[in-house]
Amino acid sequence: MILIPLHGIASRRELPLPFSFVVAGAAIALAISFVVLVFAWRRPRFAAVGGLPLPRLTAVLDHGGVRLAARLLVLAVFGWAALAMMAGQDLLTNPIFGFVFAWVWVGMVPISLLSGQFWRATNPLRTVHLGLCALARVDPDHGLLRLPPRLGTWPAAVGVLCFAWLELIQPDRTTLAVLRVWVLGWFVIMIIGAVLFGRGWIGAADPLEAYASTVAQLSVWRRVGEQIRLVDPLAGLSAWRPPPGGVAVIAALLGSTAYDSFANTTWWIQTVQRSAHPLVWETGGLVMLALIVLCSFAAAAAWTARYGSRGPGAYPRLMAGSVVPIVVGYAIAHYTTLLILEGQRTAINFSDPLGRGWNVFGSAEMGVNAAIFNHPTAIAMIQLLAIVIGHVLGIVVAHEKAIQLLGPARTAAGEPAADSRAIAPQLPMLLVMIGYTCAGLVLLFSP
Amino acid sequence: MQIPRWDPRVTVAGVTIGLCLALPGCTGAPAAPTSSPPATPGSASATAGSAGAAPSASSSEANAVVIDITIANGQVSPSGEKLSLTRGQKVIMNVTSDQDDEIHAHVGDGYELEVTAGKPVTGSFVATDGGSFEIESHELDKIIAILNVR
Repeated sequence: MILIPLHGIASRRELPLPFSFVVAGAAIALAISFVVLVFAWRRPRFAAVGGLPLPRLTAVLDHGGVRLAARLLVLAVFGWAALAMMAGQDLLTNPIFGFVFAWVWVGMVPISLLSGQFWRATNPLRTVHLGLCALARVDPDHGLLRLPPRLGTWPAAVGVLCFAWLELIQPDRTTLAVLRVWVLGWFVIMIIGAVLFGRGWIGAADPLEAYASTVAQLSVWRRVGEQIRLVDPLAGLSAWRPPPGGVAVIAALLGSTAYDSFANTTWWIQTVQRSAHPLVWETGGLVMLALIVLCSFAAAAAWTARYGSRGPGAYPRLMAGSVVPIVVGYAIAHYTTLLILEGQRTAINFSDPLGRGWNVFGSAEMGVNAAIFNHPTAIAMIQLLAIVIGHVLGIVVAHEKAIQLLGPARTAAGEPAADSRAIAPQLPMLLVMIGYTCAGLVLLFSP
Repeated sequence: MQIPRWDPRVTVAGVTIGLCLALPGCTGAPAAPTSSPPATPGSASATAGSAGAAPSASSSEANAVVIDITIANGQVSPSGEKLSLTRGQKVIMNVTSDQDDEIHAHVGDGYELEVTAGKPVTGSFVATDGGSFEIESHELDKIIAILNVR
């Protein structure tokens, strides 16, 4: 018998981060931040993306047959999951729940880190839309209406919050009736939008593609012009300039991961459970955390404008690359055990989507290896490393972006200025990032 | 083609990070449980000897954790409380409720305790696996306690 857990699919979670790890992580983050601020380079290092061009790899990956095969493979996997959702049993052994919450949402992080823009190239929504356009003999790029360019990825930011709401707040989210409404709603909105606005809509509104594209900025694969290059991820992040709404996507991602931990604190559980309107509280908490991230990051980035030639509104997007490693570090710290445990369970159930005793992929008889739970110190170390490394990469990129955008500080005589002037523009951003990192560690401690 | 050069100072910083990170793992301190045995007098209590007890196959009644659960007017008590346990420790739940309910504990394959309105009932299970698990009221959809089993 499997009891459906109240909160999400995982009935077994990792232990809270030991307090000594929280203190160690915060101390390391603080120390390294100021080392970078005071001693790091004063001239841009990643002004150009650089990297190693890979013409052969580009040719292979851009080959029509390879693209089609990859698209059809991913479409087949999603079609199989859809079969489980539409015709499977309404039990936790139905693989669709783990497929949506573990494989797709959490698995998106390692896939995008390791293989760059894989999701964008194989997104089943794009495949379905391409197929429809081929049937109707219309150009997939053009719809009936034009998307306003200023919209950017704002719809996707809302979409990320909606997914987080489904994952963390939606009552009965591990029942088929509820999940079907969400998945079909997502599919219909995406496809109708793509018909109306052309396939640019999928890039603008699909929360999965927005998540994947954001994480892929930290990968070593990067397309520069037409060619794929092997690049230093720090150079790639420095070169990234997201569309309007890109910062909102990041804030929604970081805010919702933080809410997942926050919602597990005794204080919040008691507050919500005492209230007569728990859904209002939970929704408010989720939106509030995303807004805190959005406002704090935007304000710290806008501060840079005091020292630069652009308006304050320009800086948040220009500096967005610096929060990506923190987003990824948070995600790894929060979801590694979920991916390992529920990922395996999903792989096992994937052989039998309808609950009829099938063993299509030969995985049905496998057992879940939960040995990692016997090594709580190893889990804690992974969490600490993910958060601290994310933080360090983040401040390195933030420092690089600040000197790229402002240029080396100079005195009136044109001489390189004393350190104090170079530090002042970066200080608010540094403090905000230290705040994110310490908050992440404290939330993992889960008081 | 231009590959950015790496500042040696960053390498120094990297080594420093490595050393700092190695510290908590090697000094032996961090594995210690961070919170003392069950808090909040009245709602949950551990009998003597539970704090430092090593995981043992024989989960004797002596070091069991006792949770007194009250369900009244749609509220649960304790509510979302965190309890520290050692693997192999027994959990005893004394439940009083003003409504019919089911208490679920998500340990192992899942533990269920049927509760009838107005009839105190006691149930117990052994926390064999490590990790963090919830005890909840199924009817109310509310978390009673979270067991952190080390």
